[in-house]
Amino acid sequence: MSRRAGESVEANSVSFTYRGADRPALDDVSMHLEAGELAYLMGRTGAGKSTLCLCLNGVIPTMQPGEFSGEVQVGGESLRGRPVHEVAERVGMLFQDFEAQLLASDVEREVAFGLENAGVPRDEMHRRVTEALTLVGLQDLRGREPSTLSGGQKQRLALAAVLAPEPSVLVLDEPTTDLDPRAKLELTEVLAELCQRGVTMLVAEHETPDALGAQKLIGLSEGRKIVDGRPEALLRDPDACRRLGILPLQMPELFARLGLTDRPLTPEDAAEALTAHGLTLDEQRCRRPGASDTTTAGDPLIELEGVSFTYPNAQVPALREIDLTIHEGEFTVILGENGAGKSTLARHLNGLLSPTSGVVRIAGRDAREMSVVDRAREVGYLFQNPDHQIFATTVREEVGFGPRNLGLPEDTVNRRVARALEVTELAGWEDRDPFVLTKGERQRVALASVLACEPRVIVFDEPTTGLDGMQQRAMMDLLARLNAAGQTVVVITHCTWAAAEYARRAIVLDDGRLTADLSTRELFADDALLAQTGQVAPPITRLSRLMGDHTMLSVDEFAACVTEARGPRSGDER
Amino acid sequence: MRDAISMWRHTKMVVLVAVTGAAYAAIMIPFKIATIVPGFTEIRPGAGIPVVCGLLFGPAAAWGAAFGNLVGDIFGGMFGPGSLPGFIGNFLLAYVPYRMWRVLRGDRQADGSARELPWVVICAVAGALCCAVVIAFGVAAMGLVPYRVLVLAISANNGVIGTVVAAILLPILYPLARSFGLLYTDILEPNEFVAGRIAWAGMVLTWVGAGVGLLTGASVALVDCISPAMEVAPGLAIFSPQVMVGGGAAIAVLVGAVLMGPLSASLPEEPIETQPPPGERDPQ
Amino acid sequence: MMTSLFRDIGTPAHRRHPVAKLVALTPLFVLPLAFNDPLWVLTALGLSFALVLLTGAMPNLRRLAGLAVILLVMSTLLWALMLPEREAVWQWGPLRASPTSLMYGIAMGLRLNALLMIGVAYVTCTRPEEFTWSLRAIGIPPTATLALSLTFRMVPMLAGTAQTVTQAQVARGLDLRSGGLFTRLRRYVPLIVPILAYAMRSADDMARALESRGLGAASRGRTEYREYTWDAGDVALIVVSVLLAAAAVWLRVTGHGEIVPRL
Repeated sequence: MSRRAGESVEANSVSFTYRGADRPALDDVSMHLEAGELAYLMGRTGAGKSTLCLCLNGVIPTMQPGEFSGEVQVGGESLRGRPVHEVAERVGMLFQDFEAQLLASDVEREVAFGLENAGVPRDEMHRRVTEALTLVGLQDLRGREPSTLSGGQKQRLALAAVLAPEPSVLVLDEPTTDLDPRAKLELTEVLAELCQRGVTMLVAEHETPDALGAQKLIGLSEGRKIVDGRPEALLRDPDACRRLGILPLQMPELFARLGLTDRPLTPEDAAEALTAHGLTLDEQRCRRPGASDTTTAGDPLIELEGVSFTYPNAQVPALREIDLTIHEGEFTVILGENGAGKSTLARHLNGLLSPTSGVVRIAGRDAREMSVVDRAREVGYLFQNPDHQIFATTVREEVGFGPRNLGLPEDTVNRRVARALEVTELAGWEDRDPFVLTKGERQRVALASVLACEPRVIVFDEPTTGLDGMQQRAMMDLLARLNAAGQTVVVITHCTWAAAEYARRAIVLDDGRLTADLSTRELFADDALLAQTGQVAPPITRLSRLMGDHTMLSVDEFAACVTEARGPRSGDER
Repeated sequence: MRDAISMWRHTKMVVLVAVTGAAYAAIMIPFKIATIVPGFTEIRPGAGIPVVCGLLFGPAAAWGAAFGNLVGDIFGGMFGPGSLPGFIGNFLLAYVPYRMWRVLRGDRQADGSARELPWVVICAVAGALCCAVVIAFGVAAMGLVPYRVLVLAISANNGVIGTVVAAILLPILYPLARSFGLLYTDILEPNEFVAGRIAWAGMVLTWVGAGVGLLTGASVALVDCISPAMEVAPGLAIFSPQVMVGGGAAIAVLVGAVLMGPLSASLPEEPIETQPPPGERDPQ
Repeated sequence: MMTSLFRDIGTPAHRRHPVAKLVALTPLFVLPLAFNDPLWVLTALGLSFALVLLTGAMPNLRRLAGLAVILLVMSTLLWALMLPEREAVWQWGPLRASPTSLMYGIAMGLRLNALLMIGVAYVTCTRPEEFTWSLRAIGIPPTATLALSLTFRMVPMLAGTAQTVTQAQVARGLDLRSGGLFTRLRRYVPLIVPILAYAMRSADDMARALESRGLGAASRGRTEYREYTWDAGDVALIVVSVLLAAAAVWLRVTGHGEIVPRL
């Protein structure tokens, strides 16, 4: 693409306070990106990543009310006083929410929109639209309506629309957060291609970057810059990662735990390093089944027999002949690629969908014969996006909604609300307005509202999506505590580390069929099955397989099994 | 009605048109409680949305309700001559409550508090009746559905159901719109929405039109008493007396709505975008 | 269904100039409106059905078949009972009807069906983008057509949201089916609020995306991505539809096709 060469980006002492906020979202942040450089911008939710992104394309201070100071320069020119549309020609910006940034009802015009506004001649427009669509791999979907595209396609379409005006700088605000692993990979490939072509890029993320070789990593915490340097330096330091609020990589985490000073990043390097240190896995300790394998199968709670389901107007069934029983006390994870039928299966567990053929029994009763209230009493369902359910003006009313629907007396409702808020660490927030809480907090309100119904089984649909690393860990820990207290838990997730560390039973779907129903350890030991169903084992598991015929599911487990090999060689051990 | 034109300069108002329109269409179509006249009117809680959005987003909600209804017609396969009165009627369903609030309550916020409830009800009912009169007249004049049926059915759904839903939704949505900075008072310049001096006259005219229009539907006696007067205009005999009276009421409602709004807002220099139509200009 | 009824099948009707289709629509709507004799309206209905076949709109029409039947039945009933100033032949309390009013009712039912068919035919062969394009071409300001285009874009998105919201609340025990009118009305609040809240939340992002993509750059003059060229077929479409409408109006004015002197 005959793209303008990358331009440098410079922020000098930029501060911004949103109107009505009591503390600055950005506090004296300076940064510099060389032309053609790729940088990651990391930090927890609310650290100021989005605010900094908006400063770079001129939305702040032009469109956003608030107090701004400092200066941003692109290619050595100050943005001061420039209208957004003018800045936009040089600085393209991709937002997290792919739904909200698509503006047209046809793929081609979506990409052409910015060019039309800029008065680009028609021939030139056609050339650029074709190029942009080809670059993101959507050239065959020209005539489609965006609403018929998948999430990943929508995000790539949004990217094509940003690329068409041929910006020299690209700012991406958490572009992969709402995407599944495959779509993430596809987008990452496009970004790598752009990087090759010399576009200056800043990618805001809260997940540890391991796909792209960034030259720089800038870390924000509470509006201040606390990290600025080569990414490897940070990623090798688990404590620094935690300070920044991102999940440490498993390999450096393991080596820190073992008291070793070197910090390999990949399982292959780690295996080599451990051998060099004369460390190996203790056969005895490895054979002892970990706590996560002691499955105590209780009474059957939900039984599916020969369940098939076809959506109205669809040609192919979404589920085919599923037989499955969920027992009391289990912690089950449902895995599978997008479109494999995970959500469709989950929506059968509480009768939101009724099978086209086959039977779903909840607590021994045919789900079709149960009332809405009866089903809600047995099976709770936490949807991925808390905003799909929050409607009340106070946390108390929101959380009390479910129990009230169950027809419980007011004092029971209050008792349950109090208990649910305590479990989710929201006690004392009863009178807050849930709409103005942060995403992570809203997620907890939504969870509390499901807990307050005190169902015997709770289905969690992608509970970690959209949360930052620390929030993800906190959410999974909360699920583990609930399960330890006897709650039956079913989780749909793309997050393999969470599945490996927390779940005991795994159900794998592939094209609507149940291809595997086994313990998570068995699953991650089965390379053929993983490959067949598009799953990738977490790095720590891959390391344990490199170190012998073992399947370790967490860093803790691995660290506990490490022992000195007989005839140790010298090494810098603890 | 200058506010309905000048608002297009503001990007946020343009977006709010789409937000209102899409929410209206997406909620109106699937959520229905019961059918009043099969194929013509149902009880739909979505009818409250234009009113609430009108009080919050002002003129953007008026265009939004109109666009939402049009898109609903197109997606639903009901696109036809009736879409035109539907467009105007739904515009009024949001515009009239917003303007009437300004006449009655001035700069006081429509925050949905219990104290403001009676005013919300008055404005919502006015909007519903204006909408009903205009749509019923337009559709009946084309001989599609009898005036009486439609004016009563729309008044009942929008006036009762819409008003109840609006009254429930407003206290929940007002704080939200304020915290997102989406209230029309936050986006428009004051001189774009402050009413002209004869706004009260517009309100009176609106109520007269709405009242006569509704009574024409409800009372045969009223029509019988007015219809001889219609005979003096022989060329108009192709219309029934009800439609004739409804037409008068609709005109009164429209003129009243225009008068309630700002008539000659002095705008900043920046001209409103006017461009040659596509196809007629050479690129470059 | 919450998406456009457009079918990407490329009939000759699909290839007409968007402005030609929009302009031809009005005279075509006049055909069924011109008459109130059931036989004459039936003729107009036949022409409308031909349009449905030409545009490949049959599958869409089939989906609306239930509605079409209801329109026919209800319209016949309503007009039969409410056509003013007809001498009553049959009377039940305050309700009265006559053979004339019954025939008029049938005519009106057919008229509604004919209009439905023309509308469905148009929507089947015209993309939403072509509709907004043609509005721009006849002088509607681009900002307004942009808002309309955005609405087209957002409806399926919010409809999807509506579906998920409904499932989320039903999972918490919300029962929409039982209870009296006002109880049920209240139960829709937990459905409507999250949808509107979600729409409002995306408003900011959308406004930013619009400005980032150059809305407001009016000073430099706008260009259009799409170009449609007129051909003889487009002119023929307009001429034929206008002639048909003119003929219909002339026939009616000269006293054909009417059973009552009302519209």
